[in-house]
Amino acid sequence: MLNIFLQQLINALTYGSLIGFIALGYSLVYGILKLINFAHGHIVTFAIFITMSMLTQFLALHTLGFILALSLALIITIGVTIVLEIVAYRPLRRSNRLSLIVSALGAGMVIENAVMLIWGPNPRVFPDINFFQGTINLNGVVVSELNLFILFLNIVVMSILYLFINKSRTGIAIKALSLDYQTAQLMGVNINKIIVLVFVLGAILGSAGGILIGLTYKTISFNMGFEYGLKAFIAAIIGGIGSIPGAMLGGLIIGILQTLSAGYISSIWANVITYSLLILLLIVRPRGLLGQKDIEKV
Amino acid sequence: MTKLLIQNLSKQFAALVALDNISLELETNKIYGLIGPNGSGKTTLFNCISGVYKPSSGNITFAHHSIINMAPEKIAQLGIRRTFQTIRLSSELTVAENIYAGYHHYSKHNFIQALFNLKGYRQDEIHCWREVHRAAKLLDIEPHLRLKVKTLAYGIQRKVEIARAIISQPQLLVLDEPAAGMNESEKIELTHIIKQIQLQNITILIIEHDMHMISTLCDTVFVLNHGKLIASGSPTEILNNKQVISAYMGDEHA
Amino acid sequence: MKRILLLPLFILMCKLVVAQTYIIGVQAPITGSFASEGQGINNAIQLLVAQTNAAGGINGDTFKVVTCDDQGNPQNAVICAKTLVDAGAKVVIGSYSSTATEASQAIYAKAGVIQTSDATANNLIVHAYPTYFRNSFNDNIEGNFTADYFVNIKKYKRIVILGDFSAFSTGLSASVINNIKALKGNIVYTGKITSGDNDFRAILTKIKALNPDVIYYSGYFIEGALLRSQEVSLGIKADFVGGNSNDNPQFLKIAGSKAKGSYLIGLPLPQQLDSQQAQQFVADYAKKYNSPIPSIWTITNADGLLTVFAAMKAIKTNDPILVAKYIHGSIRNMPCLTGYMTINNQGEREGNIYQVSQIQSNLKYKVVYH
Repeated sequence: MLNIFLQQLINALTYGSLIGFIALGYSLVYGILKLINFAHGHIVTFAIFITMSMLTQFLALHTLGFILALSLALIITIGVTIVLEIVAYRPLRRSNRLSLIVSALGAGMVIENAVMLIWGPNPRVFPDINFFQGTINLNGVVVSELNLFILFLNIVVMSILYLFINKSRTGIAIKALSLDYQTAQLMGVNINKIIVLVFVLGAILGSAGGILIGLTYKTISFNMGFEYGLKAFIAAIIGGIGSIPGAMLGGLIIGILQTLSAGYISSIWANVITYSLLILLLIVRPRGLLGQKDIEKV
Repeated sequence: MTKLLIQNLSKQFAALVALDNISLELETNKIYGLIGPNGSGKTTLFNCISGVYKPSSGNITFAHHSIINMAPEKIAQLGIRRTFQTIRLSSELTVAENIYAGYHHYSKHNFIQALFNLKGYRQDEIHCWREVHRAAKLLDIEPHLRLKVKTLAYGIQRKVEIARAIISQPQLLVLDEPAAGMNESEKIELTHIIKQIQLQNITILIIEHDMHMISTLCDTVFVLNHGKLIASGSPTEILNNKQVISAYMGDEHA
Repeated sequence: MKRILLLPLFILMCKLVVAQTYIIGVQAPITGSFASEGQGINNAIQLLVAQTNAAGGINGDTFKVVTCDDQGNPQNAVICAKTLVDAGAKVVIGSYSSTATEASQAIYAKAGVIQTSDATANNLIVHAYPTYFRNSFNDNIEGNFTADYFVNIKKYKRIVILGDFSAFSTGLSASVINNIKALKGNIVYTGKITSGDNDFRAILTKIKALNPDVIYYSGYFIEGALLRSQEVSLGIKADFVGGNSNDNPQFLKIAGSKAKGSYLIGLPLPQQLDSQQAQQFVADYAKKYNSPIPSIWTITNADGLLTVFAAMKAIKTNDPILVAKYIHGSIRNMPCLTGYMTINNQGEREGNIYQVSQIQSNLKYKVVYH
């Protein structure tokens, strides 16, 4: 019985951290720019497909090919993100928030359709890699090497991000920016540079989540960004949007609720149970678990 | 020596002429006052100097650079820092973090150094905290450094803003109504602090309504009315200038 | 103004052109999750029509294919049905899934358009539309075959039945469960997963605790492959048996080496059909499209069109109402690509060509029971 519970917990944590990776992108961008970047899920899809193409290109049979494919895919994704920021968000930075959201939604549709046109509407299969394929069996509790890697990466990424925001000089600038653009600018912060950096960071985190999803579940499709994006967005809200540990926590909570309700109550009702509980949670804590009040000018 | 030179500066918003052919000159290491009735264009002038607005015509030269086409962050990096009429601090961050934010451009370490706590980062960190403490000491807010801004009294928040502006060792400090909302004793303390800042070789331009403070502090006072520079001179000259008196009285009593 | 005047004339001209050729509609998921299946069906119908036209057509008519993509969902299925009826289709092949087929049935029936589909859900014939007939076998035949294999042949003692929420999977699950109960088999767990989800480890871990000896999945190949690979990853030793819609090359791609050992209950694979007619068709298809036939469903749909052609030839008219009337009850043991075609009065295909294949270590299917 304990074994089964532990296994469910591991299932929950690995699924939850995948969602959490994508949620980090939402939270980071919102925390700094107060923008819900609805194109994020589709950027993640783009990253998955471009990685798939690159992996196929470099055959992915050797670690070097894998690293090469990953780096190229990441560079292209970063490029797309920068273009997106310049074309779709920058011109609207000073307009009202609603037009920015509409622009984000529109950008998301453009990317989704571009992915469909480039890679076709059919579901594709993410290529196999030749490492992280084994499993570890601890007294009936099975953990795959990939799962372990995901959990490990989760902790590393969270720590680096935390240090980056709180310790580096760019981190200070990012914090200053969360105040308001103009004041930050008048304190000598190059806001264009920092805003692009925030988008790029979000895209990198999302891509990492996306690639791990590809490796874990194999099957990918052009419209997957919507569902994962939505779940990650919910995770970011639950954790307290704007909070970095909150995004991960939100992902993990969704993973745990969904796994435990499917595992112990009913697979049919798992989604209903999960999202009802999350609504309850938001009624009790409208700002999410680790959410703070919006930073206000005094 | 000339620090800031404004030549024939005009700023127009649609039909409204906010600044009309302003020319003035600030010299190194002096304190200047900028006064005028509400809506006379004082803050617009500040916004032109700090790069928030692009002037419609005219030129602004700072330390031999024309700055009218510079991005606000470049102007700030060149050494012009300012405060705001309404306080703009991050209320969730501590006093120290807020002040540190003003120092962003001058810290030299990179992320790798920070991540592994390397020598460059540690040195920079020590240097930076020395600067934060220096600024805080000057403003007499050292005891509050670790507190969140939102927990502090209004007068102290005002001082935090000034500390954030001077931490980067600016050459020109532009203060927009620093004494607004302060009581008499706080104003006297602030006057003393601004004198101290001047001693750090900083030129100061200050908008203030408190004439007593202006006349105690300023070497030269400029008077704006309806976007025009109507007078400039020593505080005593200005206080006795008929045009100035009618500009103020006319608005209030006519 | 001129343009408005020209419009009725234009429509009239279109009608005139349409009247000269006999339109065969294809309603299939050309895009979306079932795209490979939909494209296969469309290709096969195009091929058959080209061959028939080359042979001079039937009863003086030549044929033309109009295709509509329903993406496998009911909303688009309704739009497609209206589009194809408006385009003047007299015969429609499709759709692939029961859900999309069900949504479009009434429209075709009302317009007097013959519809034939590979969809297997039992409820497709409850309305007994006189123009609808099935070119594959209904769930109950597969359910009966599956139950017999589980209980009498493999002698499974602890059976798990999983499905998704689609009309097809729900129907097939119900039929398998009823037939197993009739044979006094022991079902330890019945559950559903959401198609489109990727992570089924929670429900599989729960199943693992029940110590089953077989997990049966009645849904489609993508989730089937994910279930199989996650089952193996979790160290569950139970056999995996997929229902007929797990027959797709994607199953092997997604599950990879973890597909080894899993079973598939369904109709024969295209390459396993032994008649010369079938082998010729498989070869023609490969030659024309430069890719193999994606699944048996491509061929049952081709059989559907061949049945219509056979009926036209038999009664020497192409009138859809008369052709449909002839098909319901008069087509008996007609040789076709998938064996013999028999359609009863309800439009149900009779007979049984089900078989069990197992995926070998070289990732090829091997028939182990039929």
